[in-house]
Amino acid sequence: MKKIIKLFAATVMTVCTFSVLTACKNNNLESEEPDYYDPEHKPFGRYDETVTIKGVMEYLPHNDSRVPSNITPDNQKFISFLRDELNVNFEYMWKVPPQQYENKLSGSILSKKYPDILKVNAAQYQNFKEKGLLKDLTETYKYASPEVLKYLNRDPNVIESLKEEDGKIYGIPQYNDTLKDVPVMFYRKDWLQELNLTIPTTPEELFDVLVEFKTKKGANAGISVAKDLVASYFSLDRYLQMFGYQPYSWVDDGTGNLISSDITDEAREGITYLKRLYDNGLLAKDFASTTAENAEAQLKQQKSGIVFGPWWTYEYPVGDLLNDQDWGAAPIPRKANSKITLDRQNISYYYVVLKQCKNPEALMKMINMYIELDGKEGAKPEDGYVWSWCPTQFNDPNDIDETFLKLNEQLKVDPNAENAAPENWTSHEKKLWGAYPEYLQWAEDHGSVKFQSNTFANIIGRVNEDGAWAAIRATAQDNSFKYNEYYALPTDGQNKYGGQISTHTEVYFAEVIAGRSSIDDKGWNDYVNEWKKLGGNTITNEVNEWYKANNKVGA
Amino acid sequence: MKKGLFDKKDTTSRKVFVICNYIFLGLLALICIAPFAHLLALSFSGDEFTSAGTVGIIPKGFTLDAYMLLAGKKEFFKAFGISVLRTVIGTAFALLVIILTAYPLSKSNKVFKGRTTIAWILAFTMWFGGGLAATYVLYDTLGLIDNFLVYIIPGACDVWFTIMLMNFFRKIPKELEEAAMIDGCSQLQILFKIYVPLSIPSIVTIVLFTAVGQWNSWFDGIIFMNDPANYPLQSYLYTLIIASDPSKMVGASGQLTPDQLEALKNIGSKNLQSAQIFLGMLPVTVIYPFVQKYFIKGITLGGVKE
Repeated sequence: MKKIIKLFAATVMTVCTFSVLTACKNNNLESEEPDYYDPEHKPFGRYDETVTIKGVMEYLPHNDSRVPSNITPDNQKFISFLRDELNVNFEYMWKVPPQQYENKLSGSILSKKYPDILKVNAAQYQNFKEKGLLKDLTETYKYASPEVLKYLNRDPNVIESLKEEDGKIYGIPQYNDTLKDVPVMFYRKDWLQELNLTIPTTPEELFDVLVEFKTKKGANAGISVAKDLVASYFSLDRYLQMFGYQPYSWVDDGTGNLISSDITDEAREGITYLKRLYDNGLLAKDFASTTAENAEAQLKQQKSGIVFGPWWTYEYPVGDLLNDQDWGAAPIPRKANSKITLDRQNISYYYVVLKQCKNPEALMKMINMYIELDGKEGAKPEDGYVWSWCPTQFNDPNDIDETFLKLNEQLKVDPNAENAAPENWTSHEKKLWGAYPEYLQWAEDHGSVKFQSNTFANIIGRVNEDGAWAAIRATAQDNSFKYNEYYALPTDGQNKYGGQISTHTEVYFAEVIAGRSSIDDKGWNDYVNEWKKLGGNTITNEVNEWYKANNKVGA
Repeated sequence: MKKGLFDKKDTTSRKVFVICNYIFLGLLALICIAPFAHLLALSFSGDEFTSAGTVGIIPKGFTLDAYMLLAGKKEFFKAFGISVLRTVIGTAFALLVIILTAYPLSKSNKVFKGRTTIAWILAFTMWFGGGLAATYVLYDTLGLIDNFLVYIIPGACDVWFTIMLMNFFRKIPKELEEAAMIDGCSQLQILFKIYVPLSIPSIVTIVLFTAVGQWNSWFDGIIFMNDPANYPLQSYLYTLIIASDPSKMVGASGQLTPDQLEALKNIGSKNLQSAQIFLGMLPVTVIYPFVQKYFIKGITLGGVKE
């Protein structure tokens, strides 16, 4: 027995030592000089010798029944395109569901297992940059294909704001048109017509319409809204924008200083309005526990006829309802002279290259490839192409606006979409164009053609001149925006006190709406004072310091 | 023996109490069963009803589609297999380690020098952990990342169970050990021929808790495995649920690409999801009642120290 134990102990020791040594071998994250230089910077230049690039993946099953069942992230078509076209051998080091991405990434970095290319959020970007883990991508940018370059330059301020003082740039940002954040009002057009009402343009008119819908159409929930103040597709913030209040923003107070939107008069007005809706039974009684899923169910059960949502609400969750309900889209009602608050920039994530990688330009070539393959022969789900499993997903920040403009331009000369779509359109635009004649027929009689939830809702939302995107364009016309001027990483104070301050705000607002706290002068002042005491003053100072040093963009 | 609910001697107030008690406990049981019934109903319901959220505890638009679809899903069965393996091997190994640790610790300091120090070191891990990052680096150094053994080794020496078993061992009369020694038994023989057979209630409890823990564990698979193809069942189900929750997909920014929107619309097979979750919890649900009778005995006996 003793012998066995000794043998066991010896084996364990050997294994441990071996693992430690292997780990140490990988320890050197030194900057490697690029071993590839192409004077022409060809966007799709094929490597003579196979280049291996390691990446990591935020994994989720794809849910697409068209993809053959033997397809995995490692053998999917994009990977073989990279091999065949660019001679890049791409490997995923690991795959993890998005919620655990950060944990897995820090574990991986701490264990000195570095991928070559990586998708990071703003905080990670800053952190990696400060630790000197990132490679300068100035040269890499030169490999962008004309299409990718066009997308990157949609808002030149974004790239400009990423440049360091020495001109170096460490990331390729995926950002979005900030107009995509503008809320849209979706309403039951059929009810409105039946009751002989007009589209509400002010909060007061909205109130009247909600009362009519409730009494005459049984829309008991009034508006479908979840308890969340922000960040859900049914959150309260879109309604508060009627008064020019977007929670957790920093707006100019008129004297050149920034003030938290959460303690402004606009916030007070917005919350008071919601309280009034609640008092009149136009918000669900149990709204304080309503999740986005509950709110969605209210909508589907016809308990509400008005919903403020993001531009894609037609596609989800309204979607199939369009078959027998008529939903219209319009700019949200606004209090006179109030302005909707938008972010200055909206960067979803950054692609970065870690220092040990010898071929940083491969990242740009892979992004080029992703854009190039869009809708091409052989790159369809049926062929085993899974876009959500591609390591370098990228999209045009202005994709929706482009689609709107291109299709409407074409419809002027070809109103029934009888001719083929122009060659240079994206696959999605071609798909919508192809479905347009059938859509027209469906719109005509709602019967002879089956409702196609994918394409028809896309057309209604993104192309139609009374659709959701058109409503956003209408909102944008009359100088109707102001900006959240703070777009840097959270300050120290925000990291330290942010949690308790937001809890304080959310609890107070929810209590006011449900009638458990007062929003008279005393109640409101107590709330504001408490907000300041909890750390709000510290944060305000920090944010203003940053603003004074950085307010060149958009000023 | 009683016949029915009441004795002849029972007073009216006693009868009322018994009836109320039955009603109360019955309701409590119903509350526990309801989620399972809902899940089962969802798995048998048509997609149009599940996505509209109108299914309660009775299936609507009865269909076996979900189960038919599931039969062809290789990933599900592979993940199921991995879960079975980790439960069987993991539990057996953990039991061995716990018994071998608890036995020496049950001896006095005179017999086993340094016992107290070792006990304190073990106890220390009950209250303090290294955190995820340190754990990850450690496992990586030991070569456990992306290795099946990560399901088996790290959790093998559960300190709570070790202490429980240790206390159980201490209650076994010393005379038995002395008699065995006189008969020439070695320590291992004493352990496996006397202590272990006498501690069956405690051991069954440990087996059951460990097995259920192994079966239900999902986080280790997700963090320590590099490829979802090697996930155990619960980790696999986790990815499935995340992928079908629109609010998770939309995320905080609320921005979706046209592709993502399309993916959002492919969601909806809640019945398939429910069928998989239901089958996933079935093994534990079926085995539990049969072993449950050992539970109370095992825990209470091990929990008291003389």
